[in-house]
Amino acid sequence: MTLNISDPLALLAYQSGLSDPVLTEAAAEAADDLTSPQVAYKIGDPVPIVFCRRVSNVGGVLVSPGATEARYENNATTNALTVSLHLVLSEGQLPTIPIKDVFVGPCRQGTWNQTYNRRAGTWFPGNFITTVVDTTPWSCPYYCGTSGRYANMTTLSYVNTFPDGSDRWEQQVHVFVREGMQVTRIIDSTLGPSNNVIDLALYLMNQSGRIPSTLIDNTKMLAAANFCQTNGFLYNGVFKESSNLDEWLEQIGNDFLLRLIESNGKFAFKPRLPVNVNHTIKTTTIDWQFTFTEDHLLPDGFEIQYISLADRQPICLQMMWRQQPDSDIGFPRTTEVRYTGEATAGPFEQYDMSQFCASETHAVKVGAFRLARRKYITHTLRLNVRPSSYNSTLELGDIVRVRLRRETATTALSYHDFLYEVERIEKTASGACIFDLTHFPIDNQGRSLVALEVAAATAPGFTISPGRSDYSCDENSSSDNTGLGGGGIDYPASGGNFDPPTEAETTVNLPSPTESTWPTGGYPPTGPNVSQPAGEPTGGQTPVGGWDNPVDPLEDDSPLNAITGASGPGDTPIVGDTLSVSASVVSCVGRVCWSKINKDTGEEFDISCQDETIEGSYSISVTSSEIDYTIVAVAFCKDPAAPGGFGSARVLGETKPVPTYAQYNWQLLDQTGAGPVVSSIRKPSLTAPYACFLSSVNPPRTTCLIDVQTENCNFVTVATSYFATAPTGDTPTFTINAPVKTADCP
Amino acid sequence: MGRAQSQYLRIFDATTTYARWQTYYVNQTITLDSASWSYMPFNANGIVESGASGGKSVTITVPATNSVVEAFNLALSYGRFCELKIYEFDSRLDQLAPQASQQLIASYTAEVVGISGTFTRLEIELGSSLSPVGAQVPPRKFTSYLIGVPLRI
Repeated sequence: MTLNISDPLALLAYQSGLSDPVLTEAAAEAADDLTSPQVAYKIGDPVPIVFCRRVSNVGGVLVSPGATEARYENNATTNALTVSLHLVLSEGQLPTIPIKDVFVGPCRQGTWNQTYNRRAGTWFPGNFITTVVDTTPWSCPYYCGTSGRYANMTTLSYVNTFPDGSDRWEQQVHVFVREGMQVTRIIDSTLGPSNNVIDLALYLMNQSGRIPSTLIDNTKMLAAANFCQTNGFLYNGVFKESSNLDEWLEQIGNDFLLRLIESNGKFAFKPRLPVNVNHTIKTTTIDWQFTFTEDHLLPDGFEIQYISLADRQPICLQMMWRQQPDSDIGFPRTTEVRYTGEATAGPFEQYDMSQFCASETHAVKVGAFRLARRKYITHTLRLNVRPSSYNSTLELGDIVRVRLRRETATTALSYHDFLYEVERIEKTASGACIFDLTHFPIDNQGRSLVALEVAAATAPGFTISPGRSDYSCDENSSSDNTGLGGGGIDYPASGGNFDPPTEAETTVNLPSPTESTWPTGGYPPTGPNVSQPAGEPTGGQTPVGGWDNPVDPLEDDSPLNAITGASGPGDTPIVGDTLSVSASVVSCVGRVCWSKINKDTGEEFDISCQDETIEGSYSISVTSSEIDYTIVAVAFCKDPAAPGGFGSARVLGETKPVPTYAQYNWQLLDQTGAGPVVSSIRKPSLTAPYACFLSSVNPPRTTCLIDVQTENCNFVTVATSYFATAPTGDTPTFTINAPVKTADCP
Repeated sequence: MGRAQSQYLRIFDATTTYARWQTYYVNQTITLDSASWSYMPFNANGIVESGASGGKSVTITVPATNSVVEAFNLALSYGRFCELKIYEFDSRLDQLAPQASQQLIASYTAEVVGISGTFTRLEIELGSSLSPVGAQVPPRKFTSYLIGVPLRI
């Protein structure tokens, strides 16, 4: 069942991202505590994707990786605790991280190794804490992890020693990643880190296996990627929260001024603002793809919905983003965006982009976009138009003009004349097209008001101090660009001293189906093969559909006809016949009911019902009242659960109609009784329309001329000749057998 | 204008086209775009394109003949694609073959994502497996093979 429900036009503003206030407001996602306890990954957690690229001192992301293995041991004399952690930084391979960018809590400390696709560090996990006299015993975890294969992951090993009594040993470690996971960038087709959200979207689309590459419009994706890069809309974040891809694509598109579209079935992003050829925001006169007029509109094809007051009143947007110093830990910030003099004391709406946005300009432009749409867009429109060339040319995000003449008086003509953005297209089976359109406001020069606002929006550009004055806990230099060590373990197949599970120990590979025509769908739907059951005679008639076909009366070769006793030719019943149905045919204790059906009108009448057999049969005599009727026998088995005490009817047979008069088939036999030679003579009596004579040929033969009935019931006179088998000179005589009744003829 | 509409459906993958059907020219095999399209009385319910999550699918109703059932079953099993094209033309001009002047009014390419129906009729849902519900990304999760038994703090 398919329910086709058209969304109310009032929802369009929300569906299009025009009005999407956050449901809950909270601390910025990037506002992680630095000295919180170290986290450990759990089985089933998503593998994080660190996606960033620091360009021109903008970008990068602070990652707080979880640990998978640990080693704790203390000095037997000083009780100094050495903590070793194995951390998973990201899916994929990351470029080598400099020593200045790794932290324990807020401090640059420790000895680090970084590797890819294997276990980092060579230390063995475990708790090797001993009690040292006159010291407080360390309380370290006992389940320190085994090890794994870390396939296609960037891993880190961190080792650091803490003096007796230190409470910093369990602080979370942090890594400032300047260059994240390497992907093939769509803009330059180069493998390397990227900060383009289109690269991330493509990676997720491909890796999730949800959208085949055939259904991705790479041309439009490239244009969208260039739009983001040109206008500084960059992604620098950690993708780690389990999400729905469709929802994520739609939401992230809004924060990059992109629209997720599906054109002809292919997915793509398209800029939400008009763009120039060089991908900058277009602030000149806007062109539109098509103009709708009264000529295109179908009856009742115009529906308008104005944006509600709640979604138009002035507000102040608090855009949250992340300031990322080059040599310090980044932190979230807010930038308030409002129209001058409006909403100075609120209301406020919070938009948290701190998880991925490291550019204040990006945040401000998104804020300006949202505010400008709120300020200038007044309504949405739904047009129902006849099919035309635009059916195949217009797509989501295109600009169209709607110009309709409004005549309220002969001297007062006015026009509904606006530009719109196509938000939704429904191409109905009838050919009519329904366009959901969002007002596209322009100024008196035909320039997009929203585009002008966004292009003009600039960030204050003020850099706030991180607020840290004491860096004495740093043991590694904040300017040390030395890359982390590359030490790690290439496990042998057995795992060596470690115990990483093998693939065979953790994976079950079911055998692939071998059916060549339908490997993944099972065997063709013919059901199981059933051979001839034991006891069935060989060489007999195979049931319809084969032995594996269940008994099904509908598939019988011919309808059941169990009525016997019709004495006319071709089993035609005639008056005086006794028709019978054997009890074995009924095959249950029940009854047989006889009825008759008028051969011309189809009207059916009951004759009688019999609950008991006589000499093993249910019988009825054919009387003259059955002439021109067929006779039907129906069996009912006893069924105490049925209302009448009998189950459903089963037709046992239906005779041919009882003829109005008998027809006779005259058999002409010569005196020797040879024959028969059969001709049908439509005569109820023995008056003979025939003549016989002895021919004079040698040997002599006897010829009779008789009227015979042909297949189409015409009567023709034919000659039938018989060689006389009697001795020469004798005159053959013919005997006429008793008449044989034949089928009726119209 | 005698407005008429013909629908064309193609099942294909990266290398092979498995079926080409058209709805208008009854019991005929016609040529369009240098390919043969045989008659099959299916019906598409229209195409919706939207930026909003979900709702981006097309339903086609087809007779449940053996060949049709098998074609769509295989398409569903193997993730084959369906291309639906809807043309409009003036039926007064030519009823025997596609007109050169016919107008493409809708086109949609997608995967077969669902099949349902009755013994005699199937409804084929075209779309993508990009479901609007359920967690899908990040695509990889920590498994025992990847990290063994992890640290428990």
